[in-house]
Amino acid sequence: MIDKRILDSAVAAILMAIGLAMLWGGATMDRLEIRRIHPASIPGLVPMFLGAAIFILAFVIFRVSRRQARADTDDAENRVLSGEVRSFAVVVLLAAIYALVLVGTLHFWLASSLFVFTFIMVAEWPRLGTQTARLKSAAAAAAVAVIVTGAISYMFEQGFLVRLP
Amino acid sequence: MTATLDALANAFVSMATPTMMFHVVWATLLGIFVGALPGLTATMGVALMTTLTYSLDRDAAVLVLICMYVGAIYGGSRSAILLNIPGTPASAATSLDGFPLAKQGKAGFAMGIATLGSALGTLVGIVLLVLIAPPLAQVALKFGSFEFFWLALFGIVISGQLTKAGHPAKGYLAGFIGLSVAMIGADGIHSHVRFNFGVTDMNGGIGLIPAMVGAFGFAEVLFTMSRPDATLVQPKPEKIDFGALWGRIWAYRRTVVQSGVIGTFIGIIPGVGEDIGAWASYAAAKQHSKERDQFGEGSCEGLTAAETGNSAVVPGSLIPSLTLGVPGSAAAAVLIAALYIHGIRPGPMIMIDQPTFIYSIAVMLTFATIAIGVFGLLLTPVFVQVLRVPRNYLMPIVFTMCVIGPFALTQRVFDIWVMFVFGIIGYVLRRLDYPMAPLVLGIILGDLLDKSLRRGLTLSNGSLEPFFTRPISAGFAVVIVVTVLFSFPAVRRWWAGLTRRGGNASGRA
Repeated sequence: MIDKRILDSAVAAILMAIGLAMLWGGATMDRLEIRRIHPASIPGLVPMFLGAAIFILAFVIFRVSRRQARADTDDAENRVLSGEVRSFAVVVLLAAIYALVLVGTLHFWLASSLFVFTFIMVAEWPRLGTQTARLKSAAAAAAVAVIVTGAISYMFEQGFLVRLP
Repeated sequence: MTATLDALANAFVSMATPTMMFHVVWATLLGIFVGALPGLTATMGVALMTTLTYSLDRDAAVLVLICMYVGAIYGGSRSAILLNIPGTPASAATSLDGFPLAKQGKAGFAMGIATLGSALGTLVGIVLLVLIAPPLAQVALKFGSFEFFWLALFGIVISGQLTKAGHPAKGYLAGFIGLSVAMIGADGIHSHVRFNFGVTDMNGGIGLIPAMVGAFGFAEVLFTMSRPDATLVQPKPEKIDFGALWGRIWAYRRTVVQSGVIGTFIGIIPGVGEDIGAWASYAAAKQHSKERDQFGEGSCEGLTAAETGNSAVVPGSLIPSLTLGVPGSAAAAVLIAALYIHGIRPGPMIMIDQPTFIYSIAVMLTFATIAIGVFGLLLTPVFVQVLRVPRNYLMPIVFTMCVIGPFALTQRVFDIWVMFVFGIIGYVLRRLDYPMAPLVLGIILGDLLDKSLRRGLTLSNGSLEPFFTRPISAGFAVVIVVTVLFSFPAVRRWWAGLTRRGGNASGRA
């Protein structure tokens, strides 16, 4: 279980760092003097303002979330349950393997079929008690994976003339 | 007036072809399915559909996107009524009265009320779109760099203020994060490349469609898979008396018109969206209703107000999108990106460059409205079956579309990475109560804000004076300052004290 307020302050701290980096990046950005542009139109002007604004607002949220975390009130609204974290991690892992590794390495249809089949089986597994149920579910998942991703691949490749990754 | 009617008639004649009707049928049906399924939102539907329509001609592509948008906003009412889970955030208010009606065995009647409410709400919005958009475009022609800078900032501030779920600073912060994303890539004045970190794929900036597909598609997959599954209320076979349905809606005619107008004006406010339109209409109806004690217990009037309000936002959100280039909702932001893909430049020049386009949009909305009316009343059993699709089978297919959709537009694997990163960022920010609408608005308005500020400062030779002395600019500046100040509880308390003291003093006098 993670305390949402601690997560909130961690994200606010990251945003404060991004704000500072943007402020610094804007201030040190090339002012294009060599092109004799108007000094008020330098490319770093708006990033500087945005960096400062992000830093200030993230600092406000950081302070508020720290104060709330110290108040030590434990209610359901402020809890991120381990089940949710586990589901998030599993989906992100499967999605990352598919989108960042398999797509571009294997043919799109094959990569997508593997992903859809694995995703369905991983998500369904806790509900499948018997061997027969698992086999039935695997057959259904394989059918959905092959047919649906085949249809999507065909539609993009033949219908929209997209060269698939 | 005659010119407007002529333009509408011409648009109708050019659109009413068998091919266009075919597009209306499939796109609206698909939109209703997308809206009905929890985990698929209207914005996601429009974003994914943009990738599927780029090979169609301009009018057909825009028609398909409009039908998807209208259908999805309406479709959300199905799962709100039968599952007590809004299919889209726009239907959150619908579930308050829709689900209790379903539990009372009146699911069919509730869906009928939702259908008529949605159709009438969209029609009220269409009338206001036709009346407001052309004069607003005329006014927008007076806008210069100074006004556009304030307009962009106004959009971010007002959207951040009205869509916040947690601390007010989170709404503004989401908007500023969106603006920062828009700073990546070549700037709009000198073409100087900013914040590309040596990645040449980032020289052209971050594409709105991959970012939106990630923030609304992949993030929604993550959300759906981390929530417990919902239980469907099985609607009893129920013969719907259409006469009674019309009679009930006629009895609520004042609520329908009021909710339609409120929804449309909420839609005009940049980046606010359908959910706020539904809640505002619901609250207003509750205030004036004779049956206000039944609101939340299964009130047909509450259901009508919520559905009329959220559907009226759709035409309302297109008013600033078309005439100012500033989206009224997240889905409208995607629609703007799609219009650019098809060679239409939304903004003040639209009535000069494409004088008939607004009327074509009105006709497209009308077709979509008729389609939701027909499908909504006749295909109830089919939509119930759609809600049975298990999410464990649906979500991986949605993610496959999220991967191939952005790739199809540019043929760049980089856009798949953008989608993935924005999905995770979107999930984390939404989980921590950061609203997504200001972030999207920031991405789309960043370039306008950047160019307008720097152009304005160049024109005024570095002076800030015109930003505060030109009448429209001054008006925007005052609204922004008041909005920001009043988001602080201390200022609200001080103002309440001041007005109370003023009231007491005048009472004594």
